[in-house]
Amino acid sequence: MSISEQLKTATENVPKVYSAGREKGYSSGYSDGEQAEYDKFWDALQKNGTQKNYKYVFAGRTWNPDIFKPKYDMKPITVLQMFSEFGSDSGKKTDIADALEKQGVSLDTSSVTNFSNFANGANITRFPTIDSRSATTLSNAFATSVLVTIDELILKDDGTQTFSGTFNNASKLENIVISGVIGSNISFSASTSLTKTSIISIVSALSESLTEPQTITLPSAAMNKYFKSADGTVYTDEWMELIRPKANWHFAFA
Amino acid sequence: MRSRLILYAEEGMVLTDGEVFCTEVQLAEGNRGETFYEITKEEYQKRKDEETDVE
Repeated sequence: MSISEQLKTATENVPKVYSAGREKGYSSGYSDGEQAEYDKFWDALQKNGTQKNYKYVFAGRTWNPDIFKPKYDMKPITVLQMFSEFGSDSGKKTDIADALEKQGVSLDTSSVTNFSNFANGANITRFPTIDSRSATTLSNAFATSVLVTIDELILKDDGTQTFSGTFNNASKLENIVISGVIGSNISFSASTSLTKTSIISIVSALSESLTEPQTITLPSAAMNKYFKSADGTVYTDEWMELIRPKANWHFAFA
Repeated sequence: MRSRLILYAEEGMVLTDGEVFCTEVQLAEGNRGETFYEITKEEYQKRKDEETDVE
């Protein structure tokens, strides 16, 4: 049987053996024999831990936290649509950070050069630290209406990355810590639930050495809540102090 | 003295520079906002729908 045939068979078997295992009362979902099926699937999918190309690997509407159980640490180079539409038809939301922690494995994205559509449309509530320092673009990377938290998003220090639609439709996003520098247009217009701490982190990451004006778009609802006077007419001193070093930025509110 | 101009969209209108859409913008220091103009909310929705179609 070829590798692709083995992978196909294993893919079909994993949900079946998981269900069977649960019915038999195995807390992990796998008996000893079924562990072999688990190993076969993840050994093939992750090439015994050497997999670098994670393009489309978890892109699928039926993934869910019961079957997302990576066996090996992941250090991908390619992540195009890695989690695209992950679990969107599963009826279950997945906390990727929690799932990886339970498995005792890590996701190291520091070698990834392009995050386009990394998790667009995914039924994912949380990501662990995402290191994008090797990437030039994060277009549509987190364009999902389910995502609540990104533990930390590490950007390049030179502000050369682009963010076309990175947070499009990210209406549930509340918590994000940004390290590194934002140096081009970026929008969080859909993220009306951003916390004050998150907004401060985002604005603090804006480049202070732009040669041409760039625009950051923030949600009016959050701005009115945290950085305007009670009648919504005047920005607070805290806000004005926060943006003072960001002289070449337009702050748009939508 | 350092200052920023603030542009507000009229009721029923949206500010845009062709890429960014908003109802209010604090401009970069020294910027007069020449690149921003108003469109109706209907026009805004039409443009967003067109963007979605392209995607």
